[in-house]
Amino acid sequence: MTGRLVSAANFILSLGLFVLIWQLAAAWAKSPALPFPATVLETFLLASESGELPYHLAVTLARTFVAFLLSMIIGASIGLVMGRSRRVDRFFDSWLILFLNIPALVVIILCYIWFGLTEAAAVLAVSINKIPNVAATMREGARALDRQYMDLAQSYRFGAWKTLRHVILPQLSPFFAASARSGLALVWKIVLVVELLGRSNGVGFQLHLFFQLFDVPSILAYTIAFVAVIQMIEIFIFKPWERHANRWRP
Amino acid sequence: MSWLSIQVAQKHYNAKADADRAAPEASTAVLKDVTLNVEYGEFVCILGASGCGKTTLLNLVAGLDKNFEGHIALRAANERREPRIGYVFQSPALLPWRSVGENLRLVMRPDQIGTGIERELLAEMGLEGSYDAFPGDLSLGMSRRVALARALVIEPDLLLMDEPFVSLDESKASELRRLLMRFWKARPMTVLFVTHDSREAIQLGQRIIVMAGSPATIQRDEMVMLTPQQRKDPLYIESVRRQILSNSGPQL
Repeated sequence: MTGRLVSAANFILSLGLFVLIWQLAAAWAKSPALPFPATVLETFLLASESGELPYHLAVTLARTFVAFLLSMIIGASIGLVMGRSRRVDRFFDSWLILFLNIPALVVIILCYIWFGLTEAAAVLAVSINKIPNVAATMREGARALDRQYMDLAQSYRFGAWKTLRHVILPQLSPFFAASARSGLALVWKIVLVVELLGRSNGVGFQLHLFFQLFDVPSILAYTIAFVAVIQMIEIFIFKPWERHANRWRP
Repeated sequence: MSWLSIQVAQKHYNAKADADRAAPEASTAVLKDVTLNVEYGEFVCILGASGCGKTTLLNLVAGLDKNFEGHIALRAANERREPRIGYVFQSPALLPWRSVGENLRLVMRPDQIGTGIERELLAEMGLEGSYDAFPGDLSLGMSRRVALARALVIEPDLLLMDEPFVSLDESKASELRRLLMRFWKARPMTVLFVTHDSREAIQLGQRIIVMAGSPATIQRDEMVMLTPQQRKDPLYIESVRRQILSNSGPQL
């Protein structure tokens, strides 16, 4: 209990210091390019009340969610196959390196050119950016699978589904957690770029609008709102799931 | 034809995992001309030095490794179903992320689920308190017990055991041996018990196969007809041991 109190106090202090530095910097700069924290808060409240911010936030979150899910499922499947089969790995390794190194912007532009300025193209572009990362991480996990458990599954005739669920996936859960974490952080940033380039709603689209109007308070208000939501996902979804997945560790 | 017939003409390890580093001809023969016929209900100990290929032989019988010359046939104990094989590995190999009870339930047949048989079996082995524990919280002795329970819960026709009581102190190991004998007497099944400990082999086996050499072959095949009292007598065991090993060469 005291540990929790200490960490809460720690968090408030550290956040307070950040706001204080911001406040001082804004007072020193005296420029519309760096508004006061209070101004940003006011903008945030106004935008929330009008329903504009929640709407665009929800749209971006939906895209992030779908792209995240797609890239996790497809990336994990590719990584598993590459990690388990030496031949597949050797053959497709250069593809993986190629895709890992294509700039996100190139994928986005090409998707829009090839598939049009559609929702599917936007989500696809984000997924393609993330899939190679997930595949590379999961490949490491699949390579590290413990032989003795595979022998167990085979000699007791577990079958494919049981083996996957009770033998393979539990061993991969640290790798899942790692790629989900870095995945979420990467995916929502790319979603903003996708929205900026070819969508007419979402946080990225709004940021583009505010950029043209030099509306810095709105830019900061949207950013902070979004970061807060992502942090909530970490605290209320990832952390509990990780605790559950690791409950067996002594 | 006997119940279990093993005919391994040749078994190589061709270092498949390191195929790109090792030259293809760098394959070592592990087993050669291993022929063994076992009747249903026999308790056979396979005795040999560590690393001589006993585990390889068990893996062939279990069907984990199909890459060998020869053939292994297992007749059904019962015409209505496939023979069931239980395997106790050298390490307990319990899934650490599943509780003890779940580890047993995972290997059980659909018709066994819900009968509570796994709970009864664990209780019989003195593990009633560990049903919901995770394997990481168990001692090695308890883990080995759970591994034995997992192999027994499926009511195997053939029980393969690969040094299942190794690295336990003697009192725990002999307790587990007694437990195993009790189950083997209670329910007919064939046991192939691999060990490098000749005293253990004589205490348990009705028949002792001595394997040695590189590639390994069967050096001796002895029936051991001892009474339960004789099996408990260390001096008697010692004399049988000397008799069996007198001309088999390697130190066991």
